[in-house]
Amino acid sequence: MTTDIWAWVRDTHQQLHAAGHRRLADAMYELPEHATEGRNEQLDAVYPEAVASARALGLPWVEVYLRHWRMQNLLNKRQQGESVLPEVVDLLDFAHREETAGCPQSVCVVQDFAICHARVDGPGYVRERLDVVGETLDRIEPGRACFDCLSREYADALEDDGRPADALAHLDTAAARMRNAGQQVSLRFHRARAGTLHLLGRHEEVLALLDTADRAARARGEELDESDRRSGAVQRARALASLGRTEEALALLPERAEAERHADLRQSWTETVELLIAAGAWENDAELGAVLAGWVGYLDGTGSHRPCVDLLLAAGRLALARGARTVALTLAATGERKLAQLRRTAGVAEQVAALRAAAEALPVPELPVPPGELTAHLAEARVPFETGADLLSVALDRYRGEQAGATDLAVLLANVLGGLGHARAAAELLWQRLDADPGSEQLTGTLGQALIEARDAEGVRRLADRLAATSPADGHWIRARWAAAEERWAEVLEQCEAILALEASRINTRRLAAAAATELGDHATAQRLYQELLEHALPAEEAGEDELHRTVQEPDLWHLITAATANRDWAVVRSTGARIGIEFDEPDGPVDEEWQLINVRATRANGTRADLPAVRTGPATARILPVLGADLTLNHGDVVVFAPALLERPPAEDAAEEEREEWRPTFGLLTLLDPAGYTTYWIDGVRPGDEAWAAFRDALRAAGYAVWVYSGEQYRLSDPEREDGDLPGVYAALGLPPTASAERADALLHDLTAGWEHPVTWLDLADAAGADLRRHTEIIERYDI
Amino acid sequence: MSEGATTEPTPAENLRTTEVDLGGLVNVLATHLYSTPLVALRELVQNAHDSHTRRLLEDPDGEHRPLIRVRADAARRTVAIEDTGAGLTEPEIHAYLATVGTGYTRMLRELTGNQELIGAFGLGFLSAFSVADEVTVTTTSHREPQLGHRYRSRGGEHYQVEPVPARPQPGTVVELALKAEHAHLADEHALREVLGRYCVLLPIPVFVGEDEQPVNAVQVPWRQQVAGDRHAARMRFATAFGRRFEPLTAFPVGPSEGATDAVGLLWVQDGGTYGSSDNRDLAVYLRGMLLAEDARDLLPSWAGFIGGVIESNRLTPTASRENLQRDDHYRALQQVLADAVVDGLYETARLRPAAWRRILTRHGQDLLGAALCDERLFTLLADDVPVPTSQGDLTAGGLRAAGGGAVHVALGSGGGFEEMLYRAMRVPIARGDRYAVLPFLRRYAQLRGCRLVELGSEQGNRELFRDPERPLPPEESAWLAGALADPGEQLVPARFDPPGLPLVLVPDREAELKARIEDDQAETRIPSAALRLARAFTARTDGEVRARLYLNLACPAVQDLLAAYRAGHTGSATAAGLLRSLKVIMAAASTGPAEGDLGAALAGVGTAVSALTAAVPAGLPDVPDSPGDLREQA
Repeated sequence: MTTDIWAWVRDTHQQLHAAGHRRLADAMYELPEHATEGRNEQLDAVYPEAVASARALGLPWVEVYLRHWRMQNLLNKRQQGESVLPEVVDLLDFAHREETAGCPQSVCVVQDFAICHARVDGPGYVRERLDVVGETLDRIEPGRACFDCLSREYADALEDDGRPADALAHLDTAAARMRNAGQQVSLRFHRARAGTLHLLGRHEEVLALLDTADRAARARGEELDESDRRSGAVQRARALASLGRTEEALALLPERAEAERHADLRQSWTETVELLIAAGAWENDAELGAVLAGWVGYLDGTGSHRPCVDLLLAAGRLALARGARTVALTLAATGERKLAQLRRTAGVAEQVAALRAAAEALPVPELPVPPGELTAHLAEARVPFETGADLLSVALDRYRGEQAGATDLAVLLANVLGGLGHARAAAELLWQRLDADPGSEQLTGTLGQALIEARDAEGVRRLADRLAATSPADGHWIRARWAAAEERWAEVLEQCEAILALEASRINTRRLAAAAATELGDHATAQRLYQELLEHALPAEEAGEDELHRTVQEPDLWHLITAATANRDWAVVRSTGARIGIEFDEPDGPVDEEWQLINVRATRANGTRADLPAVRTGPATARILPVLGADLTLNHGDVVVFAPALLERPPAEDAAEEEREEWRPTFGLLTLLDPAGYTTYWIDGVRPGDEAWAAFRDALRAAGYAVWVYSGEQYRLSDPEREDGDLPGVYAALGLPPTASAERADALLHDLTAGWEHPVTWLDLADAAGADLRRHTEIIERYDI
Repeated sequence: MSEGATTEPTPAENLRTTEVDLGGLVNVLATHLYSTPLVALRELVQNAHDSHTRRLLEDPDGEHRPLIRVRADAARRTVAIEDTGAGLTEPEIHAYLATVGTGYTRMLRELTGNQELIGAFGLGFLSAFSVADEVTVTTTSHREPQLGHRYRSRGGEHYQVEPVPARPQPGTVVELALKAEHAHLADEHALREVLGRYCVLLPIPVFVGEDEQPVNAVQVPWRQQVAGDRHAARMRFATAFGRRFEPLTAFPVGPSEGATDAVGLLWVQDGGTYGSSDNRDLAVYLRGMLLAEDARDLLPSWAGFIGGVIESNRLTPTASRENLQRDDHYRALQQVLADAVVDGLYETARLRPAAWRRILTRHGQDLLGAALCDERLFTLLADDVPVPTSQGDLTAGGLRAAGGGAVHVALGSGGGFEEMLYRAMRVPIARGDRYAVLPFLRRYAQLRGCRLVELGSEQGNRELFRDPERPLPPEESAWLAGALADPGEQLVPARFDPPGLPLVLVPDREAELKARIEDDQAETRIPSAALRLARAFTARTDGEVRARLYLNLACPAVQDLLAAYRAGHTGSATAAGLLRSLKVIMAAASTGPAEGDLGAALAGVGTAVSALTAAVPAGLPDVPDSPGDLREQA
């Protein structure tokens, strides 16, 4: 059995490299670095491919290795807990199969397994963690690298059991055993020991040890990586703050943005900031509170239950110190919910209870205005968020008016809590309010919007189901908006039709339904919906200020024109156009005029976009100009329908004249209306003089063909048969009208280019015409086309 | 060397001892300090250059055409470096060539830590002994143009200086008689290659052999006032400099107020991404001389496709003068370079669409990963960078359009029931197991507000199965479950694509894990305490549902089956048996040895066919022969 993991990594890297699996070979080195240095984005980029290759190549040891290092990152750098428990158990199982049992990294997977439980509930799993790590430590030699890691993990469990002195003794014994076995103690080991000393209040020793450890690492030739640097800085700052050396601590403590980026710093960072606040050197403000609440929410989501409770208690202490009653109560409520997810609550349960008691003991503010006027007052007086939350809570408690008023307050309070970082509490408040005021459109609207934005499919379903019984149209509306957010257009239409069956006069429902129909290419339905919308809309003069959406808006008319154009319903195009002041050259019949040059934005087969020059022929139609290749479904002469909304803003007034002159409006392609039937072939070769080319082009156009040159001045060809070999090239698309055959086109090109000094080639056309291709392959060879 | 070697016996007083213990020092130089013997050449060219600088200072009005010429003679195993600079007087020879820096003690201190050796002439000169057995220096000082001196030393420890005829013009020739193991340096072709890189930024022309063109003829685009197209000048420089790859485009690095004085050029290499993805290549120059050949760590780690040259006077070299100290300026420069890469790519996208398309094609994979590391880059690339999919490379927007608004990405490397469903879906599916694809699409979906269906994840798979339009009556569900599901399978009525697929069996991964962890065999593999804790986890799920059987209510076959059942049709049990067999056969095909009895399933098909083709017993209605008939009856 191999025991030196890094020797194995080196060998494996070399073997993979030699076998041509270079990307996997590189990943062997890069992935652990990304993982331990907290380069999470790069880890996520490399990992799926690396694991897939290891599996495809049948390399279970490599798979264990890759999964282990990623797990280290998830647990340590990203502080994930219960969310990764299934993967960590699966990994434990995988690392102990017949084919992986010999892998030196399998031992480390046991460590992952223990760390995961430490995240979920360190103190709650002390006994199990000591057992798990202990039995593995018993099986390995102190000379192995894993001994270092596992000893730290063991000491960590002892710390979680409230026995830092035992933890220190354990670390020191382990260090002695490693040294006796000729193994150097790692930087992380020293850092862990510094953490234990911190718990014991031996801060001077912490500082000394951190310095010694860094020096020792450098002496071994190890560069400290960015992650080492960051965590070392936080540990030092915390020790300095503990010693009252505030200025030095401030100088060393990484900025808050660093802690935002690196979840592993947050606990020590917060501890240090608490000390600095106590020393009057840091401001305990609502902004800090919001950041901490966001971090609490993160740990809540990753199932790191214990660190979540620890952090929310710190946030609670700071909220109490600010006198932020509602925030402290919200944190207490979160704490109470989290306690249910812990195995061992001794110690923390009391602290959560104390947080609630202290929060409740905070003074309840007096309302400056009656509850019904509070919303307006808060906005006018620009009341700070935390004070606003307190006032809204009081108002909500005391409110005795109609439901709608209370709902107003609750919606605003939810928004404020959301802004203060308590997203989940905000959503819960709205759900609770829904029990009291099930019919409120404002409430279901706000909650629905919040759920859709949070992409909470479960929540949307729950809300829609709830509404289905009391106000089915609202239930359908939530589902329709959700489907629209996910671009499931058929379902949008289905849900909207269900609403219209219940309430025929809906306007916005028709707008959404028509948009869905357009997305689905069902322009007949879209036109019907817009026409119905016109019938049901309120006359502008009768609409109140909050009913504007029920009147006809100009975009509605444009959409109707577009749909009618796609349906060739020219009468409707003309009548609707008249409503927005469009004047047509002809009074009736199909609209086919010559307006201006525009770009039509289409999508190539590979998904990139192409802006195609076109002549606008009506309000929503244009004729494509260029001869196009196979990566676009359109071609020269095709008439298309576009959506008449500008995709690019016109240049500013003060933009360069050239820019303003060159600018053309760009519109999105909607559908092909009348195909012109051109087929594209390519012409390539030495460009004749300007005159010859113009004559060639004109002759082709006169014969009904289309030409579009793609090459520019940079396109040069060389003729090895001549001295001045550097010649201008031309690469052009030739569009054959549907009436022309390839044979005729081939013959025509022969005629028109007969007098040219350098022959040009049209290989694919010649091929289609069944002509002899030798002429063309010779040209291609001669000019190296 | 023009003067040739003297055969006269050396006067004793001219045999001097270098003032340091060179034996030890040269050994340090040769084996530790310099990674490559080529560095000795660099040092000597640097000395030649310094000599010109000195002459210009001392004799600003003199007629002095500065040049450096390096010659190699493979037959004699020599390399000579000749300059037309200041030259040395005899006292200067003793002062410069025979002492090292400012003393041995300091020198050694610097070797081990402190690094302020730039231009320490003596050290540079002594590096010659790391490649040469014997070093001969023939020199004429511009201050004594009538005198010539020749310094000669084997090993550097002892040397002699003798008078020789003056050189035709002031200057110095240093000739190295190479050690056998460094014989390969005496090759003018190789010298051109090496010096072209070392000296590219030196203002004084450096020639190799009898060349008429200096190796550093290429214009330095950020120094000279370049006539004409600046981009073209940048491209010329990058092309001349890039050894491994031709550049696709090049863009400048400018000094950044308060952060760095560095200037230079970066370019996008035209290297494929197959082999190693990290082809970062950055050369750093200090006062015109190459300081670090491979300073790739100055470039962002995601920029594997970038090459470049920068010069800065504020970077601090390490003792070997081949590497850089990672100080504050180093880190500031890292940031400036990262910004320069992003700015350069933006400019390329805006001004050079053709180059931009080539970059996207060549480096699509790397750019996907890079986009994740830099917000601005993501914005630039989100719509343009190709993503590998089951239908070739497509942009995220293309995937989205083809996926009916949703972007589909497969997490697994194939196999299982998903594979079959994906094939049946016929929408392009991004390869989530390729580099950076999954996190890229996740961010894309988040920013563009579109749906990402991660096929192979629990949630993604659930998205494949839509709720039925209305729930089935419990009685019908029960009948279907009895007719179609095996023990451990939960029947889930749903709708999914393609409509032709009546049912699909999806194993429950947690239940699979539970079965493995709770198996008796696990005790022999997994240490007991760990196993106990793992079992505490798996005990949370009851494991009774081993698989979900999704029944497609949008499938005509299923609709017909239900209609037949509702009509009390006698064939419904037979038809259900056929579907049940189909389920087992498909599961066996997609997952290999699956649960369920394949033999029984195949026999079931036979039974169903016999039943369907049997003569209708008297008294029963005819078996309907088309779904249409069946519906009319229902």
